[in-house]
Amino acid sequence: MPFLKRMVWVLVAALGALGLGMIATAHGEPLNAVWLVIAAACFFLIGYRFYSRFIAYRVLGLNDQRATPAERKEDGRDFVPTNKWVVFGHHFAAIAGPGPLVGPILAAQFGYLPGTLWIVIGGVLGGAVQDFVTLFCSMRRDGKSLGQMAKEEISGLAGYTALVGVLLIMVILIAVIALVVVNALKASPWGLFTIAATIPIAFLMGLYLRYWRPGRVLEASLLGFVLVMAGVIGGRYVADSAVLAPYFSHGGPALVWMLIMYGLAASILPVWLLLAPRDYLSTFVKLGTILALAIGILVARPLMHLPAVTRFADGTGPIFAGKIFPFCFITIACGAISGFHSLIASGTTPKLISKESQARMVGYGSMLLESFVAIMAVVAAGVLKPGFYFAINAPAGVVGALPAQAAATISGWGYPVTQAAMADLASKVGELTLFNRTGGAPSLAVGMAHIFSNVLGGSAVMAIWYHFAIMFEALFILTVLDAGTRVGRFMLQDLLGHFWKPLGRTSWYPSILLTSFMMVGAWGFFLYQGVVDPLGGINSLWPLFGIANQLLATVALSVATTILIKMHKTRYAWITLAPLGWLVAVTMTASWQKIWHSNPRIGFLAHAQMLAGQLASGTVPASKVVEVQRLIFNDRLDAAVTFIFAALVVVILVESGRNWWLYALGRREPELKEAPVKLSQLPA
Amino acid sequence: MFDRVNFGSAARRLLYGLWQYLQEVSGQRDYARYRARTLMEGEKLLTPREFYQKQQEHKYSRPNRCC
Repeated sequence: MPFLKRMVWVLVAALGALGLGMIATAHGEPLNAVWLVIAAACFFLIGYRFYSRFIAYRVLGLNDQRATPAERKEDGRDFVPTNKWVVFGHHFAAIAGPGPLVGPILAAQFGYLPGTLWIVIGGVLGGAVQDFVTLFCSMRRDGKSLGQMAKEEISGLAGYTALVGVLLIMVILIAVIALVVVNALKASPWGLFTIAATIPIAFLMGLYLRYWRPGRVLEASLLGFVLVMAGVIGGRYVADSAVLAPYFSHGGPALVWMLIMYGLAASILPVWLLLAPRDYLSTFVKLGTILALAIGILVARPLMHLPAVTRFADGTGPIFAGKIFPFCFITIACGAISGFHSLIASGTTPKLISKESQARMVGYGSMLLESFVAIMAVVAAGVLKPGFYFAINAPAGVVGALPAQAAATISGWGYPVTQAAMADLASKVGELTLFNRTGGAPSLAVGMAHIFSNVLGGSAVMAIWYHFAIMFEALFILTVLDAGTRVGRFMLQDLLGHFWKPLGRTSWYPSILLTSFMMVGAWGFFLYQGVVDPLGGINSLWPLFGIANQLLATVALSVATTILIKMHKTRYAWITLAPLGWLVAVTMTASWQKIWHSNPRIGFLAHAQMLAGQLASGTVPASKVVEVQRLIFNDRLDAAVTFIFAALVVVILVESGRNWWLYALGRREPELKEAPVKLSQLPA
Repeated sequence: MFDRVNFGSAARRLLYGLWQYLQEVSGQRDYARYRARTLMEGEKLLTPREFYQKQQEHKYSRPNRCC
């Protein structure tokens, strides 16, 4: 490496060390968020420059002389050699969802430090490695999916486990992100109007793209964005109108039914009418807002008011119960390592890459950018005063449903907050109340509004920024919900087609309706359960989602390790085995605790037992008996689902471990199932 | 030194590059690319509407948006 370049990297390392030093020595003093951002950015840069390079050339042996599937099978539609920055944009837009924003906000109940460390270390050594290696494996196999690779490289049972895992994760994922939206839009006419307006706007965009200007995505997106912004601004007048506000002011259960109807519509209606235009709109708004947030943090340089570590590291947290290990690592999935990414990395992306070496930037680099987004979410949570953060996020079942009661409980924890201060904050952001808005979205929106209004407009426009942030979050959460419901429908049709062929026909309307109802019914059930849960729903659903997501990561890392062994790179298998081992420890501990822990706030069965005891002792009022019986059923169902996830992890591990053992003993010959080698004709 | 740099030209190049990138990443050029290839190979050509409809249906039939 030339001297000048070497000096640049020494400077990056020194700057990162300075950032870490500032974080480590900020005892009692609020830390400037810029140090957090600098330390993380330097760590990511060093990880990318050195670790990903090591993996790319020493371990995987990326070779630009070898034609990629995009070149060998080029067809102008699926397989298209594409500019690396364009592939990077597509891949990042696909992997960046609500997870890296919501997860770190929820995990901030432990303080900003545990989440930050996990995002930085987990991202560099785990998540980015998983995405990169999975992308590489799929690229060398003509873009095969994770399920196909698990089937071919490990065993048929492993492939089947991956398919079941993907379907289950879809259900839990949609339920939990829909819960975040419901909690953000409860009794918020401004927010609900803005989100409702995006549906006719999407129809208009769909018609524009189909009949007036086919393929003119930029024009349609610009039109949609202008209309959505008009909706954000117009929402204030709806909220202030005595006539209109009641139409857009609803409680949780009503919002659940609205989302269920929306999910059904998205699954049944033609894709060009609703789903695709919403996706275009949400992608541009998402990427633009993330960029604006990064600039906002650097310009506003806000102080982190949340402590580095809170008293809830002991496991008594109000948002979700459980200690830092394993729950911080389950709560922050997508920002550090997300199994779901492996589905994207083994889908469209490998069919677009024109040179093997580009997999490093696309796979590893995109994930680091996603981790950086998660760091910004930590900052958005950290700039809130802890009293505000807990008042917004703690459920009524823990702090009390009355504002005075909640303020007193939270102040009693040592995080002072008053009813008047919360009322003032709610009024500034144009909401009636911000108490008990569990789910992460409202506190992220308050944090973002705080940062944005410091840069542009001041507190006078904080309400606009808050509702812009709510629109931004809900818009792309609903994009995941509608796309996920549709994909789940296709997977169910594929599965049911094995039992009765017509059910497998994706254009047969009875099959479309049946599978759409099944998919929506499944996530709708868990969503409803979360909404009526006195503990806020996040306490039970988010860990389930985290466990499901890490189950997929376990599959991806097992497939990757198996392929490395087959490539005779066993001595480097630790690059995937280390994150795999960590994830197994996290997933199994979390599963065990969620099922069997004696604390009813953690263990599903202990909670069910506690409620059953209350029923048996007659302390439950007659009007609540049915509700309590339903809660008991839900607890037992959640325990069963968690058990299934844990069992699937064990199946994958046993199947993979058996193969590795046979390879090590020499009883089975490792057979690599790569696509044939062909020399690349594309210029470098 | 700075008077030699044409900032207007640099800004124009930057904006032009950004516009090219947005067109590419949004898929606006997909049809032109498909058309050129299909005509070269003498296959049946889809209309833009048919092409984008097929493209969208394919895209939203598999996991394409993450959590």
